[in-house]
Amino acid sequence: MSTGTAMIDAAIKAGNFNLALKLVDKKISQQPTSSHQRACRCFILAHAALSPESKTTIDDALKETLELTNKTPSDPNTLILLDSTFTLLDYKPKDDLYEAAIRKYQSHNLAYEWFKKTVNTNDIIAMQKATMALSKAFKPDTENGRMIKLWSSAVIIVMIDCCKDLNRLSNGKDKLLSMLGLKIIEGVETDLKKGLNAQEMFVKCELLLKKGDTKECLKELANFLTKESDLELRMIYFEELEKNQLWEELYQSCVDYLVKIGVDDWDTWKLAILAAKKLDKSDVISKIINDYKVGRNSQLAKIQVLEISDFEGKKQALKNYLDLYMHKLCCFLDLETFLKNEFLPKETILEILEEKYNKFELDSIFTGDKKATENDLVILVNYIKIKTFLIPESFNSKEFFTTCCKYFDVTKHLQNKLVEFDYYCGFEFLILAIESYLTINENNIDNQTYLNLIIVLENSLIRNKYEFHLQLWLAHLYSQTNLSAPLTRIFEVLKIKNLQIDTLSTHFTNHIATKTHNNDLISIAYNFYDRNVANELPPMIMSCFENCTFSKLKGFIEFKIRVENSVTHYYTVLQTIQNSRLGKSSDSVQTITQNQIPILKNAYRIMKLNGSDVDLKIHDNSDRKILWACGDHKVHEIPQKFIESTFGCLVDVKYIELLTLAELIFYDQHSRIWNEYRESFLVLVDKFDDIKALSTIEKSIFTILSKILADDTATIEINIPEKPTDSLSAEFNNYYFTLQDFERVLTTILKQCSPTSFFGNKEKRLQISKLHKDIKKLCQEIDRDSILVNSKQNINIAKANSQDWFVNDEFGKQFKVPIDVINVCYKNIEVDALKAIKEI
Amino acid sequence: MTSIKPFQATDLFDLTPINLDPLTENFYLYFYHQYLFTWPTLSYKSINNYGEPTGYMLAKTEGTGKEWHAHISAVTVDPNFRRVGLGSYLCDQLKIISEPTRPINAWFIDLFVKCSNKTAITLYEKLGYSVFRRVIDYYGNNNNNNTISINKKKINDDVDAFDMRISLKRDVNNETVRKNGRKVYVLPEDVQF
Repeated sequence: MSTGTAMIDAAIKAGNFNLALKLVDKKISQQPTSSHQRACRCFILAHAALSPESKTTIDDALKETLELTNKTPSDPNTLILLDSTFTLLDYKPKDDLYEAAIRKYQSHNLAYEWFKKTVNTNDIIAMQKATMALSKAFKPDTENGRMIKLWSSAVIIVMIDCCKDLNRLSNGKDKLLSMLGLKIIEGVETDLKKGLNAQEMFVKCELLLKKGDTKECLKELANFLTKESDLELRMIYFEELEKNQLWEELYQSCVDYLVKIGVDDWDTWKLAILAAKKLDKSDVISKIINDYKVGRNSQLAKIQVLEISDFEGKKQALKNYLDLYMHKLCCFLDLETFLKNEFLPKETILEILEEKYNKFELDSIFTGDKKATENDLVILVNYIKIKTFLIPESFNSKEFFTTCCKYFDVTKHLQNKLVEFDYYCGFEFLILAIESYLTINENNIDNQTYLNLIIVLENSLIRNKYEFHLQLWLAHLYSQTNLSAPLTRIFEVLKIKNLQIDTLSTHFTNHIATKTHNNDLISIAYNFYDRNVANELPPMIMSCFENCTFSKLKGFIEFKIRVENSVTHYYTVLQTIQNSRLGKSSDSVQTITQNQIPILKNAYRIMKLNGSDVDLKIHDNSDRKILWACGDHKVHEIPQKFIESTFGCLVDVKYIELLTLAELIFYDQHSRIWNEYRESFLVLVDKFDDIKALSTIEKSIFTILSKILADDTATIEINIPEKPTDSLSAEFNNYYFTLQDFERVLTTILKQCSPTSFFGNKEKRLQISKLHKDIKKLCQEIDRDSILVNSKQNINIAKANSQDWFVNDEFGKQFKVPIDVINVCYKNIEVDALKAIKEI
Repeated sequence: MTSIKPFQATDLFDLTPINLDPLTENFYLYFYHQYLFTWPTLSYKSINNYGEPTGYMLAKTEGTGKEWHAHISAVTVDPNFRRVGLGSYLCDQLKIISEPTRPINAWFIDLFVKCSNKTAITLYEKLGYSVFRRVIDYYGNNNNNNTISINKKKINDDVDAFDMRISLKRDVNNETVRKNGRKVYVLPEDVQF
């Protein structure tokens, strides 16, 4: 945020608030009527009030800011500064600054600035008001005037769809708004003389539906679709026909779409079949299906059209489908819905499956009499996936484990035929085998298991390095060791970038700031949010408005909100703080306060809203399904417990909330709402058990922190867990890093407090100083030489254990990992582990 | 089972299985969004029975006069749904959208494909596309800023692209396609609209 004067900005940045005030006061004396310079003064006062060195209090700053606000300034730059000042002061003025200003001085500049601000801040309700103000500021009969009227109607739709919680649109306000929107668009329609285009029609129809005028909406849609086949409008049309049980119209329009226009669309088949059944036209639709070009959809429609009681028909349809598609990878996924719905008895499906197994001579592959072809491989994959889906208890069986290993073995020669980037589905056998192994050995799983399975996956990736399921499983296994370097390597192999950072990076970054100082993954993620998201998204929404692409508007706004307020974004910020605190830079406090704390304050504001609407909550955009989008596509509790334990799980909203509150408690000590942080933190600390991602040492540190936050000033007993002994375990670096981080945290608390803050109380300071001394002592006692010696021993023991497991264990030996691969893996493990240990 | 649905910005959160495939480019945010707000009807996805994306198409319109056409910028399919004609299905939809008089009424559809990508070329030929011209060094490093240094006669399958076209109903006389396209060489600057 810039004040518009470089010297003042520089003084604020350097924390020299006296100089900044001196400079602005000089400007005020030169321009005594300038509201902007006065807003600038408020802005400086707010900064000063948040700093431990300044005598300015929050109340002083707020008083002066409110005084200026009461004069209703209307200069956009003044409003921007005032708005930022209120944000700094954690104060929400009773009236929206822009709304108040525009009531007094109507201008399109001001209305546009307000609109832009609402887009930037994701304030949907104010966005609607701003577009209304904007539309009043333009002449209605001009091109721009008409466009802006359309904007205001379109925002009404977004508002009604997105603002449902917390009684934001209570007492029929949604109906009133839709009527208002309709009035606006009908006005535009009259002005236009030519008909509405598809995007405008979208707005009109949505508003008609929201008003409750379905009949009129269907009429408009039917009329429009005869002239232009717009997909978005067609979806609305079909949906409304179904909802209103207009079977004849639904049937006819679906058949037209499938046959006349020629779109072979599964959802339309389903609707056509449904409508046909309601109209007693099953025979007619069956004939249409039979005459239709052969494809997956029409083959599945043959199953869908059959009556529940038509047992033989369904059997035959399944057989036909398997004959046509069992050698295609989509086979299992296509049938999954039918399998879930038990469209045929389990025994019957298994019987058919065995029939196909014999027909395709799969047994001869299993016994080694026949060499598997690419088609055989896919058939086998589908066979085992369907079978496992139907018999989930297979995972408990040693025989099943052996079968999966065997299938992997008898098909692995096909990997030799792969050219770069080819997709190889044989990995599915391996994932199933691993899931089965973990299920059978649930009670014997330990850190060594992670290392053994890492070797299994590394071995299979030698020839299939782009297989992303295996790579992601591998990343989770590495996360549960002390090895962080391989995570960067996998991240690079998968070329994770752009939005994938939001959806996938938490698969790699669990506790990474407390494992290594090397912050590559954190910086990549941080830069994405800091540069791409912050700079690219607001203009995109503006472009959506400018192009009048109303059917995408809600998606754009939701997208921006979800990325900006995502778990990954905030976790990245939290890890950046921790990483920077643990680093050697002397200006980390200033950097953190200026760059990261404002983001966390925003996170806190969202957390506090705690609603169900898109703009009232933090979003978990991490892809939680991808690990389990293989095998039988089900999440199995035991393997999941192993793969997604404390250090391998994807961090969740609760964990982010706890960490955010902690950082705000440390760095935002002079905030008006600091006590809220404290209270919320203490509530969350009481619910430790709900937070899976918390490591043992973190729990201890947060417990100590909760004691500091109590009013009591007695000496705090340091109760932390025993030092971990296995240097290859994920707890190892995490333990030492977290301890050292806590020492820095206590330094920060003492550095950031002042007599007006909670920690600035003399007795509290003494209590924290004493604790700081004790923690510092613990950090000084870390014996790095002995850790290094022990680590080398740990690695040798683990290597011997792995070698033994792969040769002698009844499960391990079936993975058939060559000894040289084990040795190479351990060579890498040794390098990565020692590198990690040396970072302590 | 496959259905076609309009592509929304929020669908980008659900593309992991498609975009993790090494052959699929994972573009910067602006790229996707630009297609959505500029050509909203030409971006769509195929979904499975659970509404999860299994593939998508990003296309645009460009050109004037008889060069007015739809251009396929990206078409990609989840590895689990390959070899069942889903790529063709997505391309066919574009024809259904671009051909009618309202709203697009294009003369043809075109796309660029690396000359070395034989599998894709065969697929497009099966769909009715033919090579219109060879764009020298289209995928090379020079095409953005220094086309002068490109030797128009020096062909290289790994960096050259075939500009492939299919003419639509509006092109009654097949004026927008040609038979000997493989022998017509142009520079990247010649294919800008």
